[in-house]
Amino acid sequence: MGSSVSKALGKLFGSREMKILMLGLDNAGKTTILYKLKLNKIKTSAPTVGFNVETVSFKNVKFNMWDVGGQERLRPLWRHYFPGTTSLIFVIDSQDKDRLNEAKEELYSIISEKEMENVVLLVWANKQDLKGALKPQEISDFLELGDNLKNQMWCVIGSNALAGQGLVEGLSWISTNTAKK
Amino acid sequence: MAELPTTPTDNEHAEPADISGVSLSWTSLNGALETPASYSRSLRLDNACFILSAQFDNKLGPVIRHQYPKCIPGFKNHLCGTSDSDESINLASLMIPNNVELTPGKKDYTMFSLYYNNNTDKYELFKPTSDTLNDNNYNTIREVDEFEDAQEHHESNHIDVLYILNIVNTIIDKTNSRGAVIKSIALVTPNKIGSIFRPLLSKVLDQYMKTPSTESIEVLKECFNMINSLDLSIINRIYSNKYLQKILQSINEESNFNSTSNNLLDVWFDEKIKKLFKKIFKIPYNIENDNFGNKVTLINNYIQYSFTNFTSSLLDTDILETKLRVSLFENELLGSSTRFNTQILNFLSKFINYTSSLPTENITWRLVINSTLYSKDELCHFVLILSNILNSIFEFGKDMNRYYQRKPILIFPYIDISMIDSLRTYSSNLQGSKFFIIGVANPIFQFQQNLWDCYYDIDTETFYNANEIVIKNKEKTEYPLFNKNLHRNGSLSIRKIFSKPGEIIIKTPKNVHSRVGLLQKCIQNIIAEEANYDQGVTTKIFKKVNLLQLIQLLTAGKVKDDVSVLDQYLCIYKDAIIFPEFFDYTSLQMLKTLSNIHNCIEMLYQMEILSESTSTMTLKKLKHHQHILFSLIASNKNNMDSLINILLNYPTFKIFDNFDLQSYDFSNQNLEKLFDPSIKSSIFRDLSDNTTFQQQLYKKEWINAFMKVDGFLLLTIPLLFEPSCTTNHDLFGNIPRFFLKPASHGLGRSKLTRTISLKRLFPLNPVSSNNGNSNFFAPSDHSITELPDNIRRSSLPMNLPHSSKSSTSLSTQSIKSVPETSQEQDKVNSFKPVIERCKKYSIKLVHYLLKRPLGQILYSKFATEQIKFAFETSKKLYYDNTPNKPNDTLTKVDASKNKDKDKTRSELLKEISIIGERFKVTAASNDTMNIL
Ligand SMILES: Nc1nc2c(ncn2[C@@H]2O[C@H](COP(=O)(O)OP(=O)(O)OP(=O)(O)O)[C@@H](O)[C@H]2O)c(=O)[nH]1
Ligand SMILES: [Mg+2]
Repeated sequence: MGSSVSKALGKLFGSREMKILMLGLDNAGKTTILYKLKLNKIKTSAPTVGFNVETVSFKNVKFNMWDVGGQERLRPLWRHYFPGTTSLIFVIDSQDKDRLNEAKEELYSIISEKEMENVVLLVWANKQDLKGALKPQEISDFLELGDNLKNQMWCVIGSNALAGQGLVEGLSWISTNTAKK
Repeated sequence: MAELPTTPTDNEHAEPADISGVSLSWTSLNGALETPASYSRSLRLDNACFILSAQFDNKLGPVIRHQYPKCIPGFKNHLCGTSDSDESINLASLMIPNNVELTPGKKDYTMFSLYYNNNTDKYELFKPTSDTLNDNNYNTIREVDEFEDAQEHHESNHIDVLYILNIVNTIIDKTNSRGAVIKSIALVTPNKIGSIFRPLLSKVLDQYMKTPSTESIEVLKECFNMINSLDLSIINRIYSNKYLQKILQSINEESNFNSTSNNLLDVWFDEKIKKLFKKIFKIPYNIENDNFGNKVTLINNYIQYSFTNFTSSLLDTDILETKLRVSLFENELLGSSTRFNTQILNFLSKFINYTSSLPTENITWRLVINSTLYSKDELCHFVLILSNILNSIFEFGKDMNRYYQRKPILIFPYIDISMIDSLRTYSSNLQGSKFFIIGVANPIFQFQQNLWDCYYDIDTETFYNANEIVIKNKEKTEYPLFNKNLHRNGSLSIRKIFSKPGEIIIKTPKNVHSRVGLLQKCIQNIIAEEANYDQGVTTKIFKKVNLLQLIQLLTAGKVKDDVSVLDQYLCIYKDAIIFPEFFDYTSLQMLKTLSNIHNCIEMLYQMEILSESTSTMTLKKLKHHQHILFSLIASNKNNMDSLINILLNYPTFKIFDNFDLQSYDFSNQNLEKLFDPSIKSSIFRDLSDNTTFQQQLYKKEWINAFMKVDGFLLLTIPLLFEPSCTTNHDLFGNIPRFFLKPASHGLGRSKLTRTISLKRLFPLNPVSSNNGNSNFFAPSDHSITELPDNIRRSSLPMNLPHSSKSSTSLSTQSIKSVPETSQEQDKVNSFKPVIERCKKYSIKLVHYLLKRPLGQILYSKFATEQIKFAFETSKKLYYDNTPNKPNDTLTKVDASKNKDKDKTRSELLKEISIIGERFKVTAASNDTMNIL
């Protein structure tokens, strides 16, 4: 009980904790993002078997970030990580145009779940550094979030995980939009 | 054969699946053993039923790549049959465990088992339970024979349980689009000891991963053949004798204790003693080779197998040269468990706290154990070691329904999140109490409500009790002030913070203090002492606590006859750790009888001089219980094994007689003080303190007491009785009492008894002064035969002076005092007949012990020189009419010599059944057998 009181007090004085769930197709760059944020290092050399979980502190907020592997057979397992999620981050490989539709379908199947209907949604249009990558606006248009999400906060931000561009902006957006909606 | 093409989406090479069921025909292993000549492969239980391989597919995730020689029924690959559904997904995720990508180059292992479902003819990950299959109203009390008959003999053509040993590795590979290759291979075996193939599989995986995927199936085929080229019947036979294994385990615990002879069992494997080895393990043929001609070597406590009868041009020579070392102790299959001893104890102390707080009507626990820091191999071991401790009835994967027919225990060394739905379904289909022990490597399990009753995180040593965890939003109303503040901020996110699983809170019930039982106390002490005791020590302590509590339960007269003793024990003590080998019918009778013998001996040994009638009565009771014990042993030769195992663990200290172990709270007791040697007198200490046969190895007196193996003395103490004694006190004239030691502790209580016993202490000691380099006197047979006949008869010359000074000064005196006065002779007559009967029973008991090869070894170790001498002398005295054939004489004596007094064998057997009946009755009401 003590810890939750301190969390609540922390809330009053500006620090808080939240659970972030980071999903997306395989190879989108989730793990790269997680460890860029956590360690400021590029650590990935293999696909994620299962999950990674790390706490990333940013602006008095402790982000409890869950990164779950995105391979086809791992996607049905995503829902087990839903309970208690404050914010969903969906990572998209902006250069992988062939699988953009696949990504869109997966995203919609997540946010249509009851447990996720209140989460704040951040889409990282990742790999902006790569040639031919779609711009965040193009990704956003393709996803048609404005048309489909009536009651949910959402945002598409371009990112380059290798250089760390767009990452802080993303967390910052989540932080402000969960504190007061 | 089911081989999958390398590209999972490519369907071309898929072969039609053979789903006709696994037809592994094999008959009784015993048959094969006894007729090695007619041995044929078809008769043999294969070591490998299947070899699987799996891979982490960059697009799909974990997939099964090969199943050789065919698919396991129930686990078709999507390419293995016509069906769209891929049943093997779960297998693949168990074979490619979470986070394996984080440790490239470091192999890891997982273990799991598959259960055959008669209804579907398929294998399943969850054991079909009595809720789905027939409930055959299992009897809770089983006879020893069944216990011993552990090697399952199946007539049907399927195998109930398949054990899977999986090994996985990640190799960095720049040519791979995701930078690494993650692959695993698994041995699917019907043999519980399949884990011995670990070193082989590890090497095969190396070669498998180096081989181009188009040819890699060939490596698996050869591996399959190689594993099946070995015949494990020797080790299977050694493991199949469950009681022997229990005894070996008990001995092993003890030998850790006794550093003077590093390992008692070393002696067995001396070339000269190999015969004895075969006798002990009942191995009727030579053990230089297995039945297939592979070389077998005995190295200390291991059997080493070499694949000398297998050749392959494909497999690396390194693989072919693999040698498998298998411990003769089945419990060592899990490897050195010492590594986890502290972690296990830390867990147990928290867990027992939890179990003892459970209501008796509803003992149930679904336990989830998480670690993300340990390897999966370590996690699986942790779970399996724990499973062994929490329920030693359970043998990994095997049906352990002996006692828990209606309470299935599910043990999963490792599962991943993909199995959570099936686990939930399985759990909700179970009725009544549920017992799960599940290993996981994913903290998300902590947030899966209604899945566990207790959740333990090994990494942080935190124990969560589902009953004490309340999700915050359910609690809001209980914190009005708190809530108000939050509402002022009035944001949606607050509600979310409340509802997120990270916000679960632990209600610590403040005034609820569950008592600290004896077991809990011992565990707390072991942890606090930080002495790094190995598992032998903790197991021995657990066993003794188990026996202490069991004896109190049996002798308190509260045992109900309609519920199994084991269930009653669990409900009363609630400390979750039991050793089921002590709970079978015969063992319970023996335990009770031994406790009675123990009580009689302690009664007689006390400082007070008992009235003549009390002494006589106690001696008669002793004789009566010896008789019962002997009857039990004589009725079935397997019973001697039970007895040996009990004696190896029997607690001879009486300290806890003063505590009601069912209710006493030990939290304020100091164990070490309880065992202060200056407080209590005990015949066991007096006997052993003066010999070198057991040393005080540990700093802590209480550990020494628990580690002491002196139960064997219960059989032999009457051999030391003075037949010509006049009181209970000089009955033990030959035993130097601790309390009478001059000045050592200043506690010599009784001057009076001292003079009496001193008089008898060293009645003759002709050799002691010559025996300069020995601290104690152990007369040879030769020296005895020189003694006058009447002296030999009237008193047994055994003495172990506590100090050489006193021995020399007393010896001449005592020799002079030997001739008895006529008054004393008269009194002697009232005790003499019953003492002689007691001695005779002791001789018979030892005689039966010595008939077992293992008994010989144990006797030579645990009997003091004094006792050995007393045995030899008494045997000669009472039985030795035909000195060349002492055995015959002894056996005949049972039936013929004592015809009028002793019972014939058939009468004995009849009596045993009466005892059995009486045992049931007395267990229910008041105990007439319990004399003291
Ligand atoms: N050029 C470029 N490459 C990136 C970027 N982010 C990630 N990558 C690369 O993309 C590959 C996949 O990245 P991961 O972080 O492993 O992808 P993931 O989403 O975790 O994939 P799974 O674990 O399989 O679900 C790696 O080789 C990264 O180096 C980026 O912003 N720019
Ligand atoms: Mg990843």
